[in-house]
Amino acid sequence: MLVIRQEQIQNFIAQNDDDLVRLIRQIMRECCPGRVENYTDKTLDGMIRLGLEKAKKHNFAKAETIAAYVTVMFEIAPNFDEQPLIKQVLEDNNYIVDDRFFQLWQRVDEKVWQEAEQSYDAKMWFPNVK
Amino acid sequence: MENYEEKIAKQQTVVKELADEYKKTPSPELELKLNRETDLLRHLTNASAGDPKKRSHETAEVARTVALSRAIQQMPK
Repeated sequence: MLVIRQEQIQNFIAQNDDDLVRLIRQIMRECCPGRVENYTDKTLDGMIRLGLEKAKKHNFAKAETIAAYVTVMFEIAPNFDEQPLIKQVLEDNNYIVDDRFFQLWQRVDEKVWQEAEQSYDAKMWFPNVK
Repeated sequence: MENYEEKIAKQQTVVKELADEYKKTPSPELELKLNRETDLLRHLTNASAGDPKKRSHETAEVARTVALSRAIQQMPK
């Protein structure tokens, strides 16, 4: 039987940050075209890279978690993880880091997601605007 | 529930004015500002669909599935 290690799976998904940026761009263009329409690839890649930096601060180990995290930044708000209850789940040391992210939908209710969406901060995507 | 219709209409005006200004006097700073205001417009349009918990869950699951599908496609046969 062929055994594939987790590290190999991660390499199959993306070998480096550039690969991951391309993958997330593809996901956004195909799955949420209205959210990113008219952005050039360069602009969109810059936004995705900001998302990757934020994802790294959470120490997610798996490329699929990072991809999912960044797409939720687009869908809800780039600062959705600052909502106190969401932050609490993402920092809950009782669980593996990547598991915490996918637990959000079991542990956080609709009202909290609404708060996260309403706290959208446009400065997060384009911090250099004067 | 937020009044998204009103907010979207206001933001459309802001984006249109900035886009017109950018056409007349393009600059990197103005482009960034236009991108930021356009993103707010898209955010509001997206949010007006409601049910952020369901939407975010679906988006996250699609992203996870696409990423894992890529790994499966590249596995040695």
